[in-house]
Amino acid sequence: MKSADYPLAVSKARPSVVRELVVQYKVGKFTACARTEACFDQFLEQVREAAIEVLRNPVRLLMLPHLHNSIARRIPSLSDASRVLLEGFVSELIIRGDLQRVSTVSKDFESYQAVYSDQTHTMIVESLSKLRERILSSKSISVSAAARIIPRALAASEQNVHILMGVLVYRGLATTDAAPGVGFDTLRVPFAPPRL
Amino acid sequence: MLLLGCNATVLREAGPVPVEELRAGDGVLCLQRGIPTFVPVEEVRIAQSKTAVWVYTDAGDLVVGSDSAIVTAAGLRLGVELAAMRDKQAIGRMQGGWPRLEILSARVPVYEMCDRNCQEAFQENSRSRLLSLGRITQSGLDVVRVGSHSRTVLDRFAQFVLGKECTLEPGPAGWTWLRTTDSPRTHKQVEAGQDGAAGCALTLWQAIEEGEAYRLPLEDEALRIHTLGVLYYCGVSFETEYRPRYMPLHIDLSLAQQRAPHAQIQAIRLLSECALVDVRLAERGCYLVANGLLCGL
Repeated sequence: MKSADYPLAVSKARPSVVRELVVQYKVGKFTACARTEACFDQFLEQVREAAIEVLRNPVRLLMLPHLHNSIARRIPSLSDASRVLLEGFVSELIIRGDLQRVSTVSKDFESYQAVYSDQTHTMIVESLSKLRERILSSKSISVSAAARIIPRALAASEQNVHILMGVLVYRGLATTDAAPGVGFDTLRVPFAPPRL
Repeated sequence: MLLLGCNATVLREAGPVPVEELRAGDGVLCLQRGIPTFVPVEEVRIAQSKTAVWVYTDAGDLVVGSDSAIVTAAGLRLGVELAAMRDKQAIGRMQGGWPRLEILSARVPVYEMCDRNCQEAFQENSRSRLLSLGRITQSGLDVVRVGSHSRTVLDRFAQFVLGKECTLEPGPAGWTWLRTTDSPRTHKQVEAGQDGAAGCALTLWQAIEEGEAYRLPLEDEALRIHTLGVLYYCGVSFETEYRPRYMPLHIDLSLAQQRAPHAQIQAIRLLSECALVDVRLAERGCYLVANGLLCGL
């Protein structure tokens, strides 16, 4: 796809350029314009391919702003007026099921969404199930122990492991004795002895 | 043919129940010529995995088969028709020209339509259902996950649902846990009444505003659907907000003074494979109330 065919956010593009682009869609929070309807479909496909590459090679769970930045780096000659549309196109990929999300917690126990490829969905669900079983049987689990029981492709990044463990905290299935902002090394089931 | 998601909840005289637990002969709440009536179920069977549509509204959500009908202000609409109404020129946005959906009116609380025996059965069913939905441990002492509510709210929950003395551990991310102690039962299990039963169901949700607004992750499907069923059964008015709107991850529920007469669709999702339950009633010409929404048969 040529960069001249990328959709542009009307509010971010030069008026003289916008006048040339006759097809208007809503994309996320922006009104976007392009030469043809097909330009929107082609750009969506380009965003999809970039997103899958980011999330699959290696396997990653990413928060949305990080995913948008990584996709932007993979699309050649992306202007700011097109870049701001990435959020809307990624949302569309989530609606279509190409990308999946899971809610987790940050070091401050604030919830956020981590995005991953639909192709790793089964791996993520099974890993969460394993972590849950282990914490119930052992009463606690460390980051290093968690990394050993989930698939290597997923455990290669410690951030992935933290995100998955954070899912258990978000869902109220596990707790931690770490102070907010510090980050946890271990989770435990409620009422188990503290792990400091 | 009416295909519903396995966790869809219908209302019996003894309270809400997932459709997959229905048996032939059970009476379920329907609207027959606009009048709430309990109609016997003729047959319930698990259907093969099929495409379905997940409809999120401001009065709860429901999974229906693509070819099953929901009652709207503009007549019956198939799930697939509602999905097709999403605006295709709105990328990454959830908007469409959806008709409003018919819902069960709060004017006649189902609880008050039922006799004393059914009300007592509802109380007992609520107790065991809430305990099983809140319990997070598989064996040993019960550990129940609740929202971080006030001590008064948690004590009422412990008294009604657990009937035992509890210790409490506050946790991060809006959760608290209750654990029954080894001591012999010290609370007499009380009858909570319809408001109390609804309040206890909401105690399992996170508190956003004490006594007014609640939140639950969307993956807690059984708890969400059961709670909505209890609220409909008890005639408690509420509004739901599914967030983020383009594809929800959690639900916010706020208690309202009055239930709106119709539901507005907030989001819709096509499911390529979904376990569904086929429900057939012994009578024709009535609309089944599932998750508070009216479904055509």
